[in-house]
Amino acid sequence: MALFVRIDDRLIHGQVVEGWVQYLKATRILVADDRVAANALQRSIMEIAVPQGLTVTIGGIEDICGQVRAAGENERAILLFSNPTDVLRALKSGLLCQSINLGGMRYIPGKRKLREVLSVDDADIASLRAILARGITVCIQSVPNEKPLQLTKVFEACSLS
Amino acid sequence: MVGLVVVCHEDMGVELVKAAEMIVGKIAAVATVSVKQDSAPEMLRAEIEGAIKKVDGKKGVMLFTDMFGGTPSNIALAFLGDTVEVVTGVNLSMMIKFANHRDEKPLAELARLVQEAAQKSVVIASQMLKGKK
Repeated sequence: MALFVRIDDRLIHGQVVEGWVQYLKATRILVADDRVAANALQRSIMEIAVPQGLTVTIGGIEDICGQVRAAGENERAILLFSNPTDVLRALKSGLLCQSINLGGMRYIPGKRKLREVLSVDDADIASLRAILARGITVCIQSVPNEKPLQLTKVFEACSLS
Repeated sequence: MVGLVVVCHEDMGVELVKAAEMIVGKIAAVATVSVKQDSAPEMLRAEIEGAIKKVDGKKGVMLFTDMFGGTPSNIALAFLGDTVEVVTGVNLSMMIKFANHRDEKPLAELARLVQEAAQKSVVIASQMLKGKK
């Protein structure tokens, strides 16, 4: 499976459906999120909020990792996580990827705003560092026509590296 | 009177309310929520919840959102219930129809009415003219 892994606290929304799906010619979106998977209403909102021809699979982190392993090789899919700690969990349970798109971790009280779409608390920083330590490239980029920005550069600029 | 919350990308909702007020005059019991690039989902949820409480006159509340599938819609849909209806694809015709009928129509009927008004307002001028001939 050609997999595009993205961290976005909004999970499925306009930037993903109108931007990335078209750009990547993806036919499937996988949402790995325990909270959404456990909420029937949230699940159905996400399932109906996509154009026809696009398959949406929503499940808990480990469940989705299993589905990725079982998927066909020719499939192009976007795998969405709402935060880096969930990504780390997925990597620990066997998810393979070389790069991660950081699409949005937006500001809530208690977080430090590093960039317009990147706010972090201590847990986020620890997880992002652990992801980088695995040799995975992390780039901040909301939409396809925006220039990607290396997370390591932002960490350096904010004295977090 | 049915309450109204307009949830859109950026300040589209704020401006849409202003535009509608230009036509029908001051609109009461209306609130707007602007979804910015840096708005976190849980902050938006709290903001919509507060807006619903603010405009709720016990006759139900309608949420208008700009685009089905976008963040404003996705978050607004979670508030769907017996007293809250969500209508997506808001435009000026929808706003005006709402303002003119919110006093006498119950929530469900009002929702159908505004949907019809919004859909009817999208026409291709040349085809409409051809149809007249």
